[in-house]
Amino acid sequence: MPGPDQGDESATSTLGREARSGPTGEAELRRRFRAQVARFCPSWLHSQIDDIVQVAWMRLRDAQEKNERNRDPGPSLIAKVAYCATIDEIRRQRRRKEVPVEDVAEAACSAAPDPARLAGAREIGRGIRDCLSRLIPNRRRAVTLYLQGHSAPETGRILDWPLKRAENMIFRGMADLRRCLDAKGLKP
Amino acid sequence: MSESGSVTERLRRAFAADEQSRPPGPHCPEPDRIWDALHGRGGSEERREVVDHIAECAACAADWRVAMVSAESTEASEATPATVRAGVRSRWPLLVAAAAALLVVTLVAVDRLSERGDETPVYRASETTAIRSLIDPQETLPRDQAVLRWSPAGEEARYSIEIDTLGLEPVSAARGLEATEYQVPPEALDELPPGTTLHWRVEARLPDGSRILSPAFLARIE
Repeated sequence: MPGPDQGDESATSTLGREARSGPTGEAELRRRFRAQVARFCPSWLHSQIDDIVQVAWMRLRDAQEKNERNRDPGPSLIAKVAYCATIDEIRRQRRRKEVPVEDVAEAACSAAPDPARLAGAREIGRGIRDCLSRLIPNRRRAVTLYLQGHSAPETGRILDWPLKRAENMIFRGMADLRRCLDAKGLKP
Repeated sequence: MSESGSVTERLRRAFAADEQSRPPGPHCPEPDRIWDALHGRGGSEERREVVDHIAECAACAADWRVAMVSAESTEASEATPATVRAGVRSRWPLLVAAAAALLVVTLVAVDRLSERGDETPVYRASETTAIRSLIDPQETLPRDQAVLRWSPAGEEARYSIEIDTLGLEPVSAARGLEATEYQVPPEALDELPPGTTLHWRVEARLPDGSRILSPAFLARIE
């Protein structure tokens, strides 16, 4: 499949006209777009990157066609379209249950994880999800975002909470989670 | 890192290690809903629904983390030095006020955390594991000494690094690195014109099998 740099003139004419008259230029737009896809794309999916870029580029063009008044997509739209195309491809691969190439390579690598430790982490991970399902909903949401790596201010922003409330929910929710894991005999 | 911070990090890794390879189910939100929720867009109820889903779905939680990493790098890469400098000049009174407020909040938080004991979560612990470039983005690297450095991701971590041009032409790659630096072989740079900007990123593999992917970084060679 050709990459966006190889697309035909008719397919990219809208963007091309815009790019020639706009401040950024089509080449710059494509460079930014390609860089975004590369940032989202996990290393095991790099062999598919041209396909993802092509799909995402077409979606971006469609989005621009629907919004004639705002032809410059801006960094947030470019990032969102690139993200959605990449996640769609990741999900497609998961549905097909394809084994990531990286996993095969790493199986023979000295840096491969200790299977016992990996199994232990997964067991605790399943325990965490079970415990989360038992938490009060708002504490569950706060702890979920906290375990994802979000700070209290970020949690508050996502859930429309003041910082104090976000901190409180994380603190209480984490205490609940630890008690639940203790009761299961799981020691993280 | 404190003991409580270590426990939190282990909990986070375990949460991330839980069956990421499971296929998406019929109730999984579309990627754009995940993106919007993460960026605080859409209605509150919509965002809560997405967060409720990632609490129970490891695959979508992994998709959410991809958006987190990329959102950080997007914000960093889109700000040019000129615009950053202009923004700082025009907003310095606000920044001073924000710094003062941050100091007060930090002092209060430290005081509260010390009262709560070892089991207190450390709210900014994520910052300790995010991989950061230790290269000054304004620096031009000599071709025979193009060393890329990054912050450590944890004890016994092993690193993979991939280096491309901005056009995604592969330049160099390495796996199983123990050190938090990598010298790009000079011969890999032979064909590149002067002033080429490299695009590089690191993936850390921790002993428990979890992975931490860095944002994409940029480095310019002479």
